[in-house]
Amino acid sequence: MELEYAVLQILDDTLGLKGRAHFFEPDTPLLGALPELDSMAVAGILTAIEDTFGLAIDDGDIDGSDFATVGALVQWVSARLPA
Amino acid sequence: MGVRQAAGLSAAAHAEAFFFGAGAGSRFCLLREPAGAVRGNVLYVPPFAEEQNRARRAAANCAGQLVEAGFAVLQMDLHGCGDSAGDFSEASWTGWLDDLRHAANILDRRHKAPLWLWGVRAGALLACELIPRLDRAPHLLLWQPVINGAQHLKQFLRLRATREALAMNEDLPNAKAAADQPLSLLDVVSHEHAARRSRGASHALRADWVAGKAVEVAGYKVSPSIAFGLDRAVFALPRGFSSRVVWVENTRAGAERASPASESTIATLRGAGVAVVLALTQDAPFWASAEREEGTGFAAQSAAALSALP
Repeated sequence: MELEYAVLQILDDTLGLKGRAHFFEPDTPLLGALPELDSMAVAGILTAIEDTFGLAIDDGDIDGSDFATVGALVQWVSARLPA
Repeated sequence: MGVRQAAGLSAAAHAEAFFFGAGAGSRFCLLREPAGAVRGNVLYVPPFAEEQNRARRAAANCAGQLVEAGFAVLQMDLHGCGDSAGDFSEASWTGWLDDLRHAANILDRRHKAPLWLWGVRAGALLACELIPRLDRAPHLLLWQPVINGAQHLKQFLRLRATREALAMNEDLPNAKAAADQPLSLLDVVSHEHAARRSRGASHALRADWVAGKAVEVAGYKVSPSIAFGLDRAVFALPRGFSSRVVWVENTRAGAERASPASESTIATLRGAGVAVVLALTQDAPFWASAEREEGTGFAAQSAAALSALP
């Protein structure tokens, strides 16, 4: 799915995973599980999501649970894309 | 390693590091010139804050290629940045524009050749505002240009708020200072507003800036002037702009098109009669990662596009 690929690429680029992100599954845990995923990385991912998908993210709109797994993050982005 | 070698120049090309101005007005410059005729002058207009550092390697690579293609390339450290005088907190948006105008004049005195403003990321916003301050309309080389300064500022401020927002437990050097600050991004304007109007900073930070105080974010003390300058800036060209625009952007998800915002801006420019050359590259986003990205795609596309145009 193109959206999932794009989100994985954002994770890969922001966290410097050198391609490893493309082996992630929807249930792969992110926040708390990946050492690279600190608050700066989260900020970077949100920025990349905004720029890539043309979104303006209200920072009150995100929550730790949205970053719990790959699937949660993809779903969060999907819900905010124009129909 | 000398400047020349570090700059990756062939033996025939020439690199010169110098300062213009003195004391508080002192600004560091690196000028690279081709061995033969100069077909164009290129003035680098840098990205904002940490992106500036992350872009250095990719910019140096490209500068070297542009020189090989016959362009003189001038890169400078703006007020409060790099080796130039002043603290980042003392910088002003108009001061940065003055710095760049001065640098453009230096290039113009050295070589009578068309001028290209090479705006990288938020540097594109500065480049837009620099255009009316120059004697002649320049061409534009844009790398992943920031189109909305307010959103860029908001993304930068996000570095401060994300930690609180996600209740993450981290030992940041400024953790205590950050914890004492009001939550900055959790009470921003609504999503709709943010999308439509350019009001990125939260009320709390704005109060500090209005009171004339610099605000510290991720190690950068942002002055009110810089904050408001960036917050107001949008990518827009003067009416009647008839010079060339080369727009280089990365695309990572296999899509053969630029981002939605870029596509929209390019369409608007073309609709107004501006000739925009769009070049896409598969490069990683060098401005976004701590890895030292080479930006070879950005460099190759830039050199090719500038060389192809008369």
